[in-house]
Amino acid sequence: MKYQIAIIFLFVGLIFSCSEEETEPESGIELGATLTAEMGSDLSSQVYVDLSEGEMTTVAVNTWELAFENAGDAIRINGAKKVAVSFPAETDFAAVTTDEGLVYYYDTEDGKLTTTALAGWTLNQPYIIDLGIDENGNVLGKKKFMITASSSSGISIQYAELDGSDAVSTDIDPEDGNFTYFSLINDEVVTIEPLSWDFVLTAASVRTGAPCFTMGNAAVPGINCDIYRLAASVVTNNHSGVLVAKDDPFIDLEQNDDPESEKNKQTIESSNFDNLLISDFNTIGGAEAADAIGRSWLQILQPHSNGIYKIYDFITYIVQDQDKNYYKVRFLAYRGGDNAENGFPTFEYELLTE
Amino acid sequence: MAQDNTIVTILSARDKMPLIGAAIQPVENSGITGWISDVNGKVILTITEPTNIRLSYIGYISKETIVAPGQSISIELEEDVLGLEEVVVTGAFVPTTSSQSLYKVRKLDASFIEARGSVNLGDVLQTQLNLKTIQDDVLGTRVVMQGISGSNVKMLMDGVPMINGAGGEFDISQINMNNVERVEIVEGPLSVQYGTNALAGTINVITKTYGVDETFASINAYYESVGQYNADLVLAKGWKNLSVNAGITRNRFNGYSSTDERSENWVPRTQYIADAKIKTSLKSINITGAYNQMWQSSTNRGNASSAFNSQTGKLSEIAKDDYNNTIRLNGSLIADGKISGNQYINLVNGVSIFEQSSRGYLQDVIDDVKWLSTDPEEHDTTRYTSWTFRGTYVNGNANKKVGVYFTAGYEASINYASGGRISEDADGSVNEYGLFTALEIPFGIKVKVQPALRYIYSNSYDARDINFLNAGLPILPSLNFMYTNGTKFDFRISYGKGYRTPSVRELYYEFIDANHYIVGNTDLLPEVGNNLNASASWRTNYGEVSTAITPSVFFSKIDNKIDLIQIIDRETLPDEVPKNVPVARAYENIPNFKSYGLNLTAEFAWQNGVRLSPGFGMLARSGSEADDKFYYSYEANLNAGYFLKKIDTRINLFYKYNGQITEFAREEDGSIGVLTLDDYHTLDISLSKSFLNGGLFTSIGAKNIFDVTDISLVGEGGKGLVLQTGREDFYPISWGRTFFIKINYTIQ
Repeated sequence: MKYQIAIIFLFVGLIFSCSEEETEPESGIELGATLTAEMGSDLSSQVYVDLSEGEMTTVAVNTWELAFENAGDAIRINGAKKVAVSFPAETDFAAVTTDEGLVYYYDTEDGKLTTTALAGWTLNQPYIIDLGIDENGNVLGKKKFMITASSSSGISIQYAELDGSDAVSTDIDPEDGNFTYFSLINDEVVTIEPLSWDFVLTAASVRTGAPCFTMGNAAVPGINCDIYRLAASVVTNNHSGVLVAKDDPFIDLEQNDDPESEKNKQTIESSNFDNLLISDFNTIGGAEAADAIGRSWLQILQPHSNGIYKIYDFITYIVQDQDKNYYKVRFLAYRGGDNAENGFPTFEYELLTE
Repeated sequence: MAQDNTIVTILSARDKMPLIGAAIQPVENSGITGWISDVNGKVILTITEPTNIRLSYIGYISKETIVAPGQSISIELEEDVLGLEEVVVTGAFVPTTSSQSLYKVRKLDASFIEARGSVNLGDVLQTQLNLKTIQDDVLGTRVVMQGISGSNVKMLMDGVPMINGAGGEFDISQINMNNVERVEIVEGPLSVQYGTNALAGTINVITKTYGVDETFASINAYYESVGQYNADLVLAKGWKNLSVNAGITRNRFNGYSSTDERSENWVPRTQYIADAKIKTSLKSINITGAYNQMWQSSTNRGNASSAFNSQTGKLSEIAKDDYNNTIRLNGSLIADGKISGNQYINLVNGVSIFEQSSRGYLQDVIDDVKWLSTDPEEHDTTRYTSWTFRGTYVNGNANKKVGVYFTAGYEASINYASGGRISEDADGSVNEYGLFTALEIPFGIKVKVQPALRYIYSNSYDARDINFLNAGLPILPSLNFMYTNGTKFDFRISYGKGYRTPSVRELYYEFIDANHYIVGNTDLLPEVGNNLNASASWRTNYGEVSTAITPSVFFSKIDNKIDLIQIIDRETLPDEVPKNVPVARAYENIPNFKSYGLNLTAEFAWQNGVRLSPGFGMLARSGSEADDKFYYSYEANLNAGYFLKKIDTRINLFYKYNGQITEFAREEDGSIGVLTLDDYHTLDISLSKSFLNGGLFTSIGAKNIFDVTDISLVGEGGKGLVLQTGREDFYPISWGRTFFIKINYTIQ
């Protein structure tokens, strides 16, 4: 943290020192910085970034499973630790005792509230939630739950082990911010999201291999299809209207894990970072999907066991933040921190004024 | 009473020149110690009746004959070009000669060590049949004998066990050769003699001892073009009843990588070695105190990859480097000798310590900034200690070639370890106590039989698993048979039950970090092996050529072989261990391992100084990990030498063909995965010459003339000899063609 602050000051100092004759910046907002987000090599932390404040907020991943929309009915599940839900046929809470034969669903990466796993949930319908994994990959178990009441003043939830033990009924009062985060493990509301943020560096549940629906009867979820792993991703705050335009000079080149492939041999020399303007944002067009940055800035290379990632530092993301400031952002490294480990991504950004 | 002189003149059979300083001893104990020949090779004997005498001279085959008082005879001794009279100690309860030893002892003497330009034990063993040396960037040089890897090879220094090092294997490159008299190798178990570990064989490093009344200073300097710079100094002084020697060595190796990567297969290192020996005698008992300690610092450099340097705030290339310090100490106090005419004792007390500490650093290779990792798992110091107390009592007349020898002895072995990579559950030590006895019985003058037993008690497991005679007895047997027909023919057969207790490491190892989960297993059973070795030697002289042909064969089966096994079901790992840890292994018993092999070696020595030793070997390995399918490998070697006496120059050639060797292991799905290391040839040549009347001795040579570096590995197997390297498609065998020069300067 100390280094990052020092770096911020260094950059601020640099920019001020060479921008004396330029137009006065808007009051009080960050002009640019180079920051390292400490997700950890096990991706056990999420790092929220507020570009205009130059501020990062680091929270532990394994602290919540469900997030309730404060201004609406949507429910998100924690994809940073592989939380998933399945839908039993039974409508009686006590009758649900097993998840045998059920398929688990994850929230989509684009962050659309209409396509979350629990989109279209109904009151008093039991669901089964897989609590995901901890930072060492240990499975945390499964619970059944159902929403028994929902209004603008809060939500009532009932949950228990699949065998009916440890039954809990709780009323959840909405917190400030977009969502209210709840831990079924500790039976408590937790503060996760800062009030203002533009994107979050987080692990995402990513499917590897075939989706189960393509395999018919041969499908064994989690074994030969729908195998999910965690990968570092950047999720934008689409809920607050953050938009991203991506400038990739090599957009036509295929992205793969071969270290010798054309795209993986490109360097920061080809970056348009220095030349991009606000007008380029408009030309490219801002995307509102939460995965507009997503995992497009890094690629693991073969052999995967070496843990070497190619960072596409030639890609520049122009981010229109929630206050309609334009920042250009590029990722420089995935390895960093005191021990130069993976899971410590470094990115730099600058305010665009024209 | 007036008496005609009895005169014996001793001559060399080859050139009829007198042998000065040859010894004559009466064969029967008659109160006379013996005589020494003068400058004319003459001895005047003071005998009053016909006496059976033995004539001996170093480097010549001894002879026995009967002389009558007043007789004047000349006796010619043959040169011992085949080394039959050389003393060997490994496997024998009393030091004996090669030709009398019940075991076939392979001897690599100082001149062989010199001719190979050997720096360490790895260099000496490289071209030997039935032995393989394997290089690992972390574990160093390991030895494979009879197809079984290092933890089953007993390593001794002057008969005192040396403890294994990192990875449970012995890094033979840590044993320096500059003060070594010879290396003795016995294949097959010597468990009655040395207890646990000796399943595949025993390698005994015999250090130099200097004579009485000898004052001596010697300096060695060695350079090898790969980047080895070694120097040592030896001082020795002898008095009437006391000799002392001390030495100091510095070896520097700059490291080598065939791949141009920053991470090297052969890591750079510096070794300092100090050794000292003090020897005295109390009546006829020799008392020897020896100390040998090595300090090694080495650096395992990692490959750099792009990272943001948190120290400089710049994007850079950062590598992870491990700085290792290793200490290996061997100390011993040995008393041996005759306590009376027929009684011999040998008391060995020794300690062996191995300590390795590693510190993880991050190295910015662009801005050259280095800092210590803050991750505690990157730093470790682990220390292994082993104490040995062994006593042997032998009753038998050593002056007689033929006689009954009775041996009884005890051994206690105390082993413990401590440090970051040893489980906290490892309380106390793994101790083993043994009582052993042997009886050598002659049948006529040609046949000897020796049954022997060792009774074992251990504090850490049930030795009754050895199950002798299927009666649950904790007893290890061995049986030796030897037939010898003078110097012309001999035949040996030895059966031994070998066994190896799980080591402290195998029981309690605990190496857990972000990339590793390697743990010991307290439920391990001891390995129990059965081994049968047979060999024969024919020796003949065809005019100028002395020849020896030696075929040998062995069969070996090991039950409950201990191996590091991949943990397949990661969900069984403890909660605190990341389930995606790249390396997850634990020690397990595998049901059985079988091997057999045959070797054929020959030796041809011409009187003019030419010597040729070709050899051929076949090894077959199988077991439960191979569904009892046998995998074969072949090897051949040729050592050739030519000694030009006139100009005091020796030319040597060492060639070895290493055939393909396959490693096998059961895979996750139950199939057998195999990995095959391709074949390769090595050839070394050297030339040695002495100057200044032997005061200055130089060797120059070329090693690895075929420029072998990495040998390819093919197959799908997930483990084997090569498992620990982490390499995928090749194996580093050597660092390519090099030239060396060694200079020795000695002041007597």
